[in-house]
Amino acid sequence: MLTTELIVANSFEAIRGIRPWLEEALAPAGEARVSAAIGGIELAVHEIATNSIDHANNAEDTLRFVAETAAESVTIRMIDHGDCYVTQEPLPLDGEPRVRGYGLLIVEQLATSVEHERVEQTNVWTLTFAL
Amino acid sequence: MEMSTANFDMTISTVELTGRLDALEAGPLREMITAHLRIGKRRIVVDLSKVEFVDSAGLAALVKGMKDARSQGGDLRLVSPISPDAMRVFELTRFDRVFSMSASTADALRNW
Repeated sequence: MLTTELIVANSFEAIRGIRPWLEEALAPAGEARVSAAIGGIELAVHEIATNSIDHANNAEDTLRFVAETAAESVTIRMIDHGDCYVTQEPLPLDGEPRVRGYGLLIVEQLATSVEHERVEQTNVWTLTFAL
Repeated sequence: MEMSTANFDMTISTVELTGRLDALEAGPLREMITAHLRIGKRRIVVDLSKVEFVDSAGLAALVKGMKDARSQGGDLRLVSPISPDAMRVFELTRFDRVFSMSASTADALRNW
């Protein structure tokens, strides 16, 4: 099990650092597994981070990510110090397409499990992915 | 992200994007689409073939543009991303069935 951590500023520019961090964090799973999975994992983690920047009013001004990588799975936690938030809207074919609010819907399709906990004054999102 | 535009006639314009279409770039794209619509370019093709990554904020900019164009009697059509990492968000949200998505700008402009 490899544990790696990333702390970035609470900004859309800074969360572009998720991809290179994931490449390092997932490395123990082997190149073939990483290559197949990293795109979906990046999108899911990116969506959780974007939601936090948009909705959490994060007073601490940082986002912390922790990845625990095993042979066939990775668990990623994202911690922010903002308000409690959960957003989701229906799929576009259910009616008139909505412009925003698809982030969590995307995450739930990419991860094998998605959990949100409110721990003291923090939001803790835990995403698990198969590798 | 880089954006370049071209005009085909009084009502059609094309926008070619490269790089990442994420929350950082969604605002400038939305503003560009709005500017095109404001001068009567209500038929817009956005070429995503060279885009490497699209998130839900980038998708939202395109959906807003499509809705605004359709409300003016036009449309916003897409050239499909080649990168699976850019195509993924359309498939997961089913917007690949809502947008007209073509393999090239020429295909997107055909019969328009």
